[in-house]
Amino acid sequence: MSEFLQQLVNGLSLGSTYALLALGLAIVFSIFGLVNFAYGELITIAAYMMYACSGLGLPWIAQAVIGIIAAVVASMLMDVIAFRPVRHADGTTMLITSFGVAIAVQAIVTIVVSARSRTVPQPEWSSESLSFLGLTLPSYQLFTVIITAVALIGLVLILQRTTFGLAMRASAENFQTARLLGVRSNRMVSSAFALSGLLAGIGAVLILARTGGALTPMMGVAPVLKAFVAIVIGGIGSLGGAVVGGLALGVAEIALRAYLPGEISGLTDGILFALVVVVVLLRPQGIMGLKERLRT
Amino acid sequence: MLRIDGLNVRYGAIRAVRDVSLEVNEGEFVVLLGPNGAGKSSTLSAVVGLIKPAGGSVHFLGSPITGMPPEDVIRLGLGLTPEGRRILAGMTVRENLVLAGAIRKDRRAVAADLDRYLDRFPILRARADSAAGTLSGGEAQQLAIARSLMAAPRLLMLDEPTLGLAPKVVDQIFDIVAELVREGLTILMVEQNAVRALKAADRGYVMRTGQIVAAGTAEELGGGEGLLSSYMGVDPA
Repeated sequence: MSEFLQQLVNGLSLGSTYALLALGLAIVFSIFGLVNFAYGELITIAAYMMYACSGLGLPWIAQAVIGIIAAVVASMLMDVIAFRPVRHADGTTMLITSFGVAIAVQAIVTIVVSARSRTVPQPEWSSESLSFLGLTLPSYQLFTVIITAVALIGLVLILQRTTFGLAMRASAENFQTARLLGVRSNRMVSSAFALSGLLAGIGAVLILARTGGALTPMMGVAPVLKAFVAIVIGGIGSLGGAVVGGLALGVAEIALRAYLPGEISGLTDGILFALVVVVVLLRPQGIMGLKERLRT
Repeated sequence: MLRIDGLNVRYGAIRAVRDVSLEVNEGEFVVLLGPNGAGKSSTLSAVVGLIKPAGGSVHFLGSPITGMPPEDVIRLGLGLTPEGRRILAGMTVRENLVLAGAIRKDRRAVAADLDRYLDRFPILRARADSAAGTLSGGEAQQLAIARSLMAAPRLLMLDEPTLGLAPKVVDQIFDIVAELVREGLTILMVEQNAVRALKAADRGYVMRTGQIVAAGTAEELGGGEGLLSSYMGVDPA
């Protein structure tokens, strides 16, 4: 029982990171119609910025803040430099552009830093464990759950309670209609990229806490794939679906890792992606997606 | 107030709107008639900047607005209640209205208007905090009109406001439009029900295959009945 609970907490902790990342990907998709595969590189940029700051001897909290700001700025720059010029092109063009941006960032990081792995020292508390109701929780898991909860609640409050949030939700639901009501399209797209960068930056801090601070130029690839899978499961275009999809994916991944026989545990991701195919076959609109969205 | 000169809209090789010119004066109620696919909606979409015109010009209140994005056009006081109502289904009725009022500076006037339109359309007050997607067709049309009014437009364009509604509800929508006209709002309405629309309006234009083929008052257009057979190719059933 306690083993099960332990794995459940583990799954929710990983899932909440995925939820956060998926939300960042879904925000840009729902407003701009782009699955931004360079989103993972925002994580890389935040992580390497933290690495640079740790080299300067800045305390961890300052590294985290600067790393997150770097991801926000990088995300908005991606919009202006790479995506705005192809805004009226078809979806494929934008998709390929996002791959191009991803490869460019990976190459720049490789050239400027190194292709080899680097480490950002993590604060001591992140490797400690807490005992709680008979469970032993690594403190980074608790940290992840708390930070994600705060970020999600903050985001929900902004989306539900402010005029800006109202405009954002309207744009996500139907961009043309939102514009007819006077919502400024450029401002909404920039805001979507900024929020997306913010979530990627927070995600980077959490990922580093989980992995003990290891970073490579390719570190953004796996998270963006997971985030993409999460929004497909949850229902593409639905912000709530992204969160649900992320949590479901995290729990499923931990369950597979914990309960698959050792000799096939290497297949975790393979089985996970196969499950996604099953979900999409049975429910093409995703868990939370509306059927109608498929048509528009 | 609104002047359209030689407007052209193309979708690839198809010319959906050809050299359309029309005018709406302050305080007028003008209808734009014609069968499906005549280019009526394309004309309105080009006027508000949802699609880029391939040629021609649009002036509103004397200033050129050709190709201006919709978010700027609405700020000048030119509103569109789009075809199919386009309410934001995932947001509440109130949120739809509040968002539409958000472009105005005078917060107090916006709050007063919100109250006024919730009084005027009682069903919207009753459903204010429900998801707008749960409204029936007629209710959704009332929301779409109230939403347009929240922006305090000087000229409102209504695109097929009665499409797909039950006869009783159609009456209700025509009543609402007549009331708005009495209050002095300038209206350009696209409508398929030619006879009824002409009876209510000051003037009408008739479009067919992308062009304006007739214009005038109800009398000049033969009350609309002749239109059906002569211009629209439909039997006046």
